[in-house]
Amino acid sequence: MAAIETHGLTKHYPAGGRGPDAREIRALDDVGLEVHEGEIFGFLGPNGAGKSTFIRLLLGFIHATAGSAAVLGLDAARDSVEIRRRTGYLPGGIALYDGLTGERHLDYLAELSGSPTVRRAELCDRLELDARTLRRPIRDYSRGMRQKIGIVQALQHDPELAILDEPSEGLDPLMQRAFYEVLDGLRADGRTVFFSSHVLSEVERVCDRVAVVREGRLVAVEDVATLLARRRRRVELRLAGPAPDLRGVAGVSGVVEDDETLTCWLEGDPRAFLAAIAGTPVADLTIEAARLEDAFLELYEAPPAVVAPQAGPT
Amino acid sequence: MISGPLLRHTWRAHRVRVVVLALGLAAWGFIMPVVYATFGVQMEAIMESGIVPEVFLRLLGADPFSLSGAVALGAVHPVALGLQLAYPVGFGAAAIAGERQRGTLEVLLSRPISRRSVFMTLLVALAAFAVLTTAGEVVGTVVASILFDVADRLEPASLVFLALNTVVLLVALAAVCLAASASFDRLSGPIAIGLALVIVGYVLEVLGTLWPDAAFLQPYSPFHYLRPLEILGGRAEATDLLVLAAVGIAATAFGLWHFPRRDLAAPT
Repeated sequence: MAAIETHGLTKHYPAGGRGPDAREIRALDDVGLEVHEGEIFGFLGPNGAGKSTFIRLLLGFIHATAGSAAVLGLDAARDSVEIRRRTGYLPGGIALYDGLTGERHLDYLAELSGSPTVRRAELCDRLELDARTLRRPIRDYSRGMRQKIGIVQALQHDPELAILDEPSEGLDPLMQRAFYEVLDGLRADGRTVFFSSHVLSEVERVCDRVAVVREGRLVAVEDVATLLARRRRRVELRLAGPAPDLRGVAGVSGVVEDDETLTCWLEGDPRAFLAAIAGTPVADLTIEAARLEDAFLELYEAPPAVVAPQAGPT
Repeated sequence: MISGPLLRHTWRAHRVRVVVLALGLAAWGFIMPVVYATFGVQMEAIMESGIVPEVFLRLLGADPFSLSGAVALGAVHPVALGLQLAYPVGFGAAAIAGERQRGTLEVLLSRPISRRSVFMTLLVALAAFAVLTTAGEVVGTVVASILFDVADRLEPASLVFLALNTVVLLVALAAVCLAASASFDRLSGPIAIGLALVIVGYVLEVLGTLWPDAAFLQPYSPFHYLRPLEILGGRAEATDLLVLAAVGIAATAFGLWHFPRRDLAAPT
């Protein structure tokens, strides 16, 4: 069973004007996606791309214009209360009850969930939320501390599926690392994590697969490793002799020769390229690491090409 | 349908203010029998002397300086109504729209609680607050009546009916304000609706009382359906309760229908 499965999920909002002036904002358009159980799935896109709309549809905060969504095998429109019982959710830019202490806040949300807080102690320990901090009112918390409370409230009842909207926002680098370790722990325990982000380095660090959404449409769904392997990397050779002939070598493009330098783009499997330069007198060789950021930018700079809806009858 | 944790949270968050309001209303309720016991005879003589204009007497009711008249006047006095309406209108209008505006509704609704349950739980909390504040006023009146030895001039059943009528009025107004609260993303809309309902309703009722030609407007005021003088005089009308109950039920039905259907887009 897929943890999340959507078919043709579409959300349009009315935007200003009436009658002939009536317009629609296409917040999400025909999104078909399948998130497997036990994976950490990244949902990427810049602000306004439709990430939060997608999440809010999954949790029943908004209603789809067309299409359907199932979460943990339950219909997102009909069974949203049961979905929220089995899910942990961290909203983007979470707002908390300022008058409560951190501890009281977590207790209140746990009471509403009706589930024991089996992970709270471990999460507070990892995120350095000590008892003294938790006894202070939330109005005194910094942004990072609020985000930590947000993470704990989403995960303290050990949900089957965690939906996290921009989870590392406001965390310092040390806490980000601690948070990634929390995600690693969830993965090890077979929990599913779906998280939206525009911090590509963290997605690259923690996700098994990613989907990229652009102007409400899904433009890529890939393994992170595949996405990176497919990406073009810039290669620079400093030569100590004649340049190699790279014409027609698989995966090589954009070859530029200078006095002692040769640069080119390398895409996919590097073995053909390495074979082609074997025997060439090379003083230095630099192959830039493939970065998700570049892959993401390529997807955004290219004309919109929409991936076929991924989810389907299995 | 009712969420225990949300109900407890709402009570914890508001208990001090509700108790203060109840004590304030108890003090107010205490004053009326004291005024009657201390000045009733003299005031009655002044009224009968013809010094006070008839229009003012109409505003006070037909029997302003009997004990019933004094208590009835206290029940619909702007001070008492202001204290009574603080929660049904103020909190009713802010309960959902305020959480939505602050962004905390998102956290609440991320738990396994339906929007209908949120609505009904808040309405139950508002009804409980209305019972407490009304009870405060009644207790103040009864205690003062006993202390000043005038308790025999009040009919207990009538006083209970008056309290019931007051609670039904407050719950009806709370239901309207809560339904408005569930329909907006910002506080200003439901607050404006709540205030308009109270101010316009009060003006229509007073206008109709002072000016017989405007009496046809009174049935459009919710305050027209709380008639303490008639109730305490043994002339209570069940139709007043039915009208208020119908308003409350209609507003509740609208809230329960509309709130779950609304799109709660990401807070901006």
